[in-house]
Amino acid sequence: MGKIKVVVTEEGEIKIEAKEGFEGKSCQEAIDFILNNLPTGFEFAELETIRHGNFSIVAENPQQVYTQQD
Amino acid sequence: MSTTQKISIRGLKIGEDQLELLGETVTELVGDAGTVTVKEKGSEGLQIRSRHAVAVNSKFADIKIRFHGANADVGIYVGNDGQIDMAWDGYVVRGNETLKQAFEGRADRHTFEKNLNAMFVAKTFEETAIRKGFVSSGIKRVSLQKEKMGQFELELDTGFSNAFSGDEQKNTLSGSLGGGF
Repeated sequence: MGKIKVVVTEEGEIKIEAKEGFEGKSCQEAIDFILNNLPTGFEFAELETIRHGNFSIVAENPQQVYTQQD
Repeated sequence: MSTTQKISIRGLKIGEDQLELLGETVTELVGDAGTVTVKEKGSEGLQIRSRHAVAVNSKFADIKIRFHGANADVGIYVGNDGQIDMAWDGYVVRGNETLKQAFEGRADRHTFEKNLNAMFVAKTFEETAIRKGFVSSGIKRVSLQKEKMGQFELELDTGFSNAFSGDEQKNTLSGSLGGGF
């Protein structure tokens, strides 16, 4: 079990953050799992950044950018 | 003479069968500031009224908003490719006190469109996660008074879902979440 916090700002920035309960790669897998199962045809704005953290790892994670694939 | 015509909301496209979710989003966002009507499936659409002439391609909307105190409608349209368009005039929301209270003192088209975009993205994430076995805390709009803006937040609990593999991929996004995991 783990918790993910999702924040969507008015400027279209999406932040996804691991809150608790994740170890190893499970958080990334959970985030990827949601992103990979978004409805067919759904697209968000052109410039979106996604940040994620993991409370179990003391390290700065750089901001990540997602773009739609053609 | 002015014409009321639909214009795209930047970047937002809805997926198949998401009209209902869009209607739910608009209804929640408008709240007590007005009345929202969503067209019946298969119908031509909802005729909108404006103080001005309405462009031919904007006469029938998929979702119609009538803000309290206004004598004209807001039309929301879903294009064949899922692109969201809106047709409305500034006077429809200018001075709407309910919207001002909800949006940190702002009652203008740009603010409403940005909030609609953000809330719909949050709802899509939530719906996707729930569909795949996650548990949602619900979406809440957090007001950032100092910045005079807001953001939509939700927490997703993976629960006992072990669905992290083996599902068919429906929407492909590129990108790497990088190190640390």
